[in-house]
Amino acid sequence: MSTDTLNLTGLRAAPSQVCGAFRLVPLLRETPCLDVRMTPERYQQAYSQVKLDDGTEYWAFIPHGYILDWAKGNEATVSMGGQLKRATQGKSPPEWFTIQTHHRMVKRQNANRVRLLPLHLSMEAFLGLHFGGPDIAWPEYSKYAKRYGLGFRSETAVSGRGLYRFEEALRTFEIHEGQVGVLIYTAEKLASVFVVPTPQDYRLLHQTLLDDFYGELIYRYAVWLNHQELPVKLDVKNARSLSDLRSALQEARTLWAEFSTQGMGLDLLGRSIQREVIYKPAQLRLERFMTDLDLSTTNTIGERLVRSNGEVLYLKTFQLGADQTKRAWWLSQLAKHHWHIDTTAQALNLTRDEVVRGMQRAGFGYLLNPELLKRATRKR
Amino acid sequence: MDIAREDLSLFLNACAAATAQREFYSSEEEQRVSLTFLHEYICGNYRTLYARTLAAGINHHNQAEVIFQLLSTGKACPPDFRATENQLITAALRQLPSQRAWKLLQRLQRSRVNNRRTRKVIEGFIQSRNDLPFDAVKYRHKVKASMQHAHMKSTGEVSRFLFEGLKKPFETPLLEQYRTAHYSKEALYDLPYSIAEGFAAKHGVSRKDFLKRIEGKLTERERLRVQNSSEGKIQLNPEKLSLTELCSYVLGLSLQERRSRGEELMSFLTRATRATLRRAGRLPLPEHKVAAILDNSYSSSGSSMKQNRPLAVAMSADFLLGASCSQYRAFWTHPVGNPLLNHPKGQTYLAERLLDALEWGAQTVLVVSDACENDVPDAFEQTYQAYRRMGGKASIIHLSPVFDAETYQVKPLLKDLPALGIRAGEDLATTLAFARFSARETTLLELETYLQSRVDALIGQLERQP
Repeated sequence: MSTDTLNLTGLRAAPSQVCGAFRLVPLLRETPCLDVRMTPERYQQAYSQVKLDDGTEYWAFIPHGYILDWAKGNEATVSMGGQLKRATQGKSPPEWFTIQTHHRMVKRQNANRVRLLPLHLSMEAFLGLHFGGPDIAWPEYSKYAKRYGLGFRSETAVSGRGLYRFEEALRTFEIHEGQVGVLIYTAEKLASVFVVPTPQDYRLLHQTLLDDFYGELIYRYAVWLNHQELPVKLDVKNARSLSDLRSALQEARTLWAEFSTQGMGLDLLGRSIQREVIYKPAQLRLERFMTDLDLSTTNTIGERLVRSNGEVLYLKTFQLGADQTKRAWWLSQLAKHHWHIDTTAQALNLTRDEVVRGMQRAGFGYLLNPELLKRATRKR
Repeated sequence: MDIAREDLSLFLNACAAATAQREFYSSEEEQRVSLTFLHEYICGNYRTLYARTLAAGINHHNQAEVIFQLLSTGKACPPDFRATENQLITAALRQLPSQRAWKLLQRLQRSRVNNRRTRKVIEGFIQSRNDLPFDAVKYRHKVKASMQHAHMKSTGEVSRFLFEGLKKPFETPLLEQYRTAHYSKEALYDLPYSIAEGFAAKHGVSRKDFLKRIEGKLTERERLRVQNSSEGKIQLNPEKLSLTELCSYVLGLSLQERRSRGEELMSFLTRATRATLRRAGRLPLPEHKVAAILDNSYSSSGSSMKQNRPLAVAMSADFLLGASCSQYRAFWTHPVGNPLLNHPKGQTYLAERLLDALEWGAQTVLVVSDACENDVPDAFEQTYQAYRRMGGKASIIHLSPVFDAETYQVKPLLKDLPALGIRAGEDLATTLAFARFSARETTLLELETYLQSRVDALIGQLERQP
């Protein structure tokens, strides 16, 4: 793990489009990307099982994966449609409950290609955070925690199809020429970022945003709120000629784009992140990250593919809910103090019972010694 | 009285564009509810003017809607206006395309609108039909429903055909053909295409043979419709086709096919343009530089119900203006080299195109767009206002092919300039003629006079007919 900040190097925004609670800001690439491609791969099963290297299993509904192709250093381009694909097999009607098994989140397919499961890659890291449980057998923990660590962790998220008017927002969105990504705002709060290497990839993947999963907050905002009217003022007061008007228009366009990335995206863009490199294809880095767990604001997990010069080729984020953040925060606090409850309480300026109650509220009661739990939650 | 003028011109504009079909930004339900409300509102408040709009060049869907509204609220009609209203309904009903007229009559039955006037109107319509056996074969259920609904006496063979079944032979050739087509393959080729199609399937006639032999019976629109399934072997007569429908057809072809059949398609389009201009006369535009800002952003792809319709309207307007104005230039939001290869793509980008057009020196600028501007929102309005403040004189006319269900009107681009609704490029001349009544300066009286002149023309036509 190392730290970095979340940024949009190599990308610039264009004026946004709105629908319901959603504001979608198109992202364009400054220099076209010729050597990396990303294409979708559909899965049709009801449930997926991913076998990870350390013997743990990740279970989720995974509707699609991405195939990442890249050119080796000396080859200039990866051409559109140049990849060989296995012929699609005749579709048999899916059984009522089917399971597909994947091996690893990021699986090498051949020398220049990996398959990755979008967002599940980061979600797996989030769920696996301090998964081993206490590293010292403190008496405060239950037998279960000592034997199995966290044992079984689960989080819920909302499918894009469940977000009110999100489908309509994506359908009526007019994709820009050369667009490679999108910032999704719900009720003017940056909810998710999605970037792919080339415009052709984006056109293919635009609709798949509907199949991805989103944080619960986005669901609530989409139902209850609407987008704000944010009028753009053209600076035309002193315009004398048509060329003045033209430059005013250009200026408004740039200002608007800057505002939508820098002004409105502060919750996410520029935040410092903890990142972990997953794969190093050629001169690129595929990594997953999590923002510093700040309880006063929303936190995000995600994954990205960056060049050595920092240009973002692929980026996908998931906004954590407050309860999810809290869980991760408790685990990291405990881990920081070697899972010793008294030290943790001291560091947080809390009492031992408060820590125990906090952990129980977060859903980690099963990790604690039942006696201890009983004492802490006893009526005072 | 200004409100009345505004309501009415808003209604007329909406009725020129709206068809209660799904649009890019709104569903079929939204469109239908919104449009029905508008009809009920205008009918309830300005009944006499509402009836006159039948003559004002609104589209067929709305004409049918107006007739339906008028017939179902007969009691509200002032006695001294009754005769005119009846004349208007009769004339408008006869002018509707047959499929729409019959559908309307069936709708009257289903909605149980049955009063003496409605029965009389239906009876009059049925008696005015030149070829009732043909209608009876082609629109069997609808004709039957209308005759039942109007309590018409069952006399003659058509009644027997509709109400008694096909057991005994008929003397009318077409009815007899229909009867024999149930048993014989040969008889089906004398029936109308849409009816024969069903029989061909029943007898297992191959599509190729069927199209080859039925070709003579196809109407022009049917010819256009079977172009693809016949692989272009059915002859087209573009002069008789609607230019917008032809544009829709071109836009429905793949880019590759458009490239390979380029010359043929282009000649179709130019011939149809010339024919349209011959029919409708020159466009009422002054002799100076005319520019058109045409929207081919992604939203011009319409909906699954009206595929590419907004783009087809813009494209047909482009052809008509090009053929009609001596100095004309088109500014597409996403520039296209070959007009045939146009396709809906990208964001709506109007302000910059306005500046392009003005820089070229345009004195009249026509904008064909659904007015959902997003790069940057509202920039067109601000640019236009700044241009006016700078003393710019060019006149700007905004035409929109889309009815905005949310605001009950055709969405305007500029606050002080209402948008003109347009459903097909062919209506361009009528729409432009109506343009001055949309502007704020005109009075209700002027609008009424205009409507009355159209009414006189329509009723005059009725009287000339037997």
